[in-house]
Amino acid sequence: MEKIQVIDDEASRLTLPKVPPRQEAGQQAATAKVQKELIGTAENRLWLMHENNLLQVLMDNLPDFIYFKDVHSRFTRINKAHARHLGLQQPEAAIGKSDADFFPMRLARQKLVDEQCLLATGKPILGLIEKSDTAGETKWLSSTKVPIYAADGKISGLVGISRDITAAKEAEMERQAMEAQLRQAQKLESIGQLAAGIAHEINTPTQYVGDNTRFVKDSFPAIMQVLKSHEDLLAAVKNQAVTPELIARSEVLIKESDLEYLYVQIPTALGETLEGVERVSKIVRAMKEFSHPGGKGKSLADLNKAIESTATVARNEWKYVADLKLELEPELPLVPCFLGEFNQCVLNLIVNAAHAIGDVVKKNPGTKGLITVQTRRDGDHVEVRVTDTGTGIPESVRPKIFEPFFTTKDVGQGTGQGLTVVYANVVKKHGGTVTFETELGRGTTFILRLPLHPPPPAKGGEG
Amino acid sequence: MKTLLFVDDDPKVLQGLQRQLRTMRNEWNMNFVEGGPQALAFMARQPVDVIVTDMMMPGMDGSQLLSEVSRRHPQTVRIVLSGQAEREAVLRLVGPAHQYLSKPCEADELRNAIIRTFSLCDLLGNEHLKNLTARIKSLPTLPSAQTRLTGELQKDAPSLERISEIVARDIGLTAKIMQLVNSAFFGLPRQISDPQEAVAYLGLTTVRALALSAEIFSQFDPRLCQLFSLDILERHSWATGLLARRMAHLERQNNQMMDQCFLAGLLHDVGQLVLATGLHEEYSQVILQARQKKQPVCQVEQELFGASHADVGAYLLGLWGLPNVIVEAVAWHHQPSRSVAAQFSQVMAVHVADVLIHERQQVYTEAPPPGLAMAYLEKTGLAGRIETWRAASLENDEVY
Ligand SMILES: Nc1ncnc2c1ncn2[C@@H]1O[C@H](COP(=O)(O)OP(=O)(O)OP(=O)(O)O)[C@@H](O)[C@H]1O
Ligand SMILES: [Fe+2]
Ligand SMILES: [Fe+2]
Ligand SMILES: [Mg+2]
Repeated sequence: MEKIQVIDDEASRLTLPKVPPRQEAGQQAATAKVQKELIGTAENRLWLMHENNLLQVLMDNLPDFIYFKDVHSRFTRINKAHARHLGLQQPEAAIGKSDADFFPMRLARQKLVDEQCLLATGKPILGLIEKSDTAGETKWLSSTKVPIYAADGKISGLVGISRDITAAKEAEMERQAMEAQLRQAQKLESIGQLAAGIAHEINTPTQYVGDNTRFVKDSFPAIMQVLKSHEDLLAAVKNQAVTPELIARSEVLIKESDLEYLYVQIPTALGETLEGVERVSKIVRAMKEFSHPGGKGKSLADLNKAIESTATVARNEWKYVADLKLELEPELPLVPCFLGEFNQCVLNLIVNAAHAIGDVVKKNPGTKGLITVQTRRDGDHVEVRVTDTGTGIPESVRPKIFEPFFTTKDVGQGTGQGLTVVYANVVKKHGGTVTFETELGRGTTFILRLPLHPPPPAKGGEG
Repeated sequence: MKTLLFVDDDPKVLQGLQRQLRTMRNEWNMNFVEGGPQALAFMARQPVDVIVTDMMMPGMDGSQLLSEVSRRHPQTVRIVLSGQAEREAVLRLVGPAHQYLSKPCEADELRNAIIRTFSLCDLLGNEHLKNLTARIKSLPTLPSAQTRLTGELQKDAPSLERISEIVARDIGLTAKIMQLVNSAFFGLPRQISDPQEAVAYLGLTTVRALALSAEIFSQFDPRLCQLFSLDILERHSWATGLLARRMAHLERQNNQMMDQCFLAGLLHDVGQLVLATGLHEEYSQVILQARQKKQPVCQVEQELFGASHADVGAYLLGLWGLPNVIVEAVAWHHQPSRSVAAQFSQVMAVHVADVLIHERQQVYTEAPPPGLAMAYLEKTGLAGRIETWRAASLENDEVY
């Protein structure tokens, strides 16, 4: 919905000279009558001609649409520009008609409702953004409509002026589409990058789960043989028929089957297999949580859990250069947010941290950095801090990091969209803030603050 | 006993491998370490026949480790066992690794790859030649092939067909592309022998990345081994490949066989390229002696090195994981009777095509190979086809 500002003060009221009460006859007749009464004296006539002239010049030369309507929202006068918009040759052709004669039903009804409200209450409509479809074209209008008061103080109609803002509106929509596209593209890109990392994270445990299971399977026949021979032995003992051959056979089987090794290895192999399966399912679970579809609206989210999944999903991005420590406040309240977008932000910050640490590690091979992610409640806000022990951000770079496509990284490493998206998500979508503290050679902390009670989304904005 | 070294930053992977390969413990000496530096330390103490390493590891990654290994211990066969899924990653390994296997990898697949390389090691007796061959990251190409390839790749819409043709006319490029496309990394359901199919599988992006990497394009320096001409070898190889394929066609073999005959024909003398680039003067010496004494080159090679270009070529292609039939055809192209095949085979096609092309090709400076293995041809009952094949070799003059 569009933003409607309502101003009503006596001074801004438009009042026409004394007009007799409206009669039941047709509007045209009424208008003629008004005119006749007004054109009383010569003096008046001159003055009126002059005023009318001025009005006419104004109306015919303004590119804005100007129209007068009666209490039934029927046109009583329109200017040339408006006639063109309505597809009329002459302005006079509109007189007595209403919006329903020109616009699609829904639109006409909407206008009628707005105007009837105005006529009833006297509250003007200021700068209403309207979509205006006629047969030929779609326009976006910024309309202002005010009531006209007759001398008796009753509202006798309205005058409206609408400005064509189609060009500006289209530019705005294009910008929004581009921003959404950017966000989407960045999301896809990081999902692509993540997918490769996740595949690696899954392939590794799968390797040893397979190896271990096959090992147990291959060992089992030997174990079974030993057990069988002991069954035989046991039976022989019961029957007191033990022979040296039976004993020898069991001994040989035990020796051949590598039992000592199997005693130790089978339980560990099974333990590691279970652990591997758990690792895979943890990744898969985290993936599911990370790729939260992020529905239309905000939902109350457990940010700690979201951070844990995001860190798991991104593990391949950081684990070779850094350890990751989570210091999450256990009592953190749920935060109203778009979870998908929030995950994206945390991911971008973790990846940036890993890159900054990677640069340090490259210079000092064999070392590892640390990424710390903290959450805490701070009054009406929840704070998320992502700290790294990376390079820090040089002073000359600091003012530019949130700019779209600003990057200091090589092609293929970064496209410069990460922080732009963080900013857009946190500030624009959540009404939060993004700040950072950095020190060259020591590291950087990015701080996201999300409001626990964001003001309800402003009525209006985009359609 | 052969010595193996497994490297992985995840101890659980190592333990899994250890358990799974335990049945081999009486034949292989298997060792397991958790990182690149440990691996290098181990190898400094003890020679290793085959190293199998993970790719992504903190500190020193697999490609760094293998580069270092190829420098310090060139004779060691280098295999990557990685769970990485990006194509770019494998491109970084094109130089330092001989073969790539993907995690998760069936135990049999790993075992077979290792057994295969061990049997290759036995194929080539000369340790020095082994080192020389194992150290090779890429084969030199003719500058003209390089120019044509980069030219085509820079076009707005490069043609896969033209690129395949450029690749197929170049021994070194073809061998490299075949190494890549047949690696387990690409996980193709069957082995590929047709350069055009290989290029199509790899896709333009990968081929471009390959073409731009300096690892692939080493240029041949003709001054180093003056009597050797890469240009002539390329033409001889191309003609041999075409004729071998034509023969397969005449013998009504299927497409796969035709592709394999072509590839084996194209690569049959790749060992000469290895020797000429690796041994320069000694190889000039071989060529000189062959010409003066009118001996077959392979005979002189055998005399001076204890191995021929056929052995060296087969060893290289085997290390690079090319299909076995190709490796065999290259190994025995001068002695087809060593093959067990009792009918038309890739070995026979390459052998016959090689001799027939030599008959035709006056300009070639190599003394002719030993003649046709008539006894083997008789045995397989194909001796009567020789004239048909010779006629085919005369059909197409353009290629010589
Ligand atoms: N934690 C950090 N430490 C040091 N520098 C950083 C850090 N985070 C961001 N920067 C700097 O800010 C720049 C912009 O970051 P941003 O995340 O927007 O883009 P990018 O990381 O370069 O590329 P992308 O995120 O799109 O892959 C980076 O190129 C880097 O120079
Ligand atoms: Fe030869
Ligand atoms: Fe030859
Ligand atoms: Mg970034």
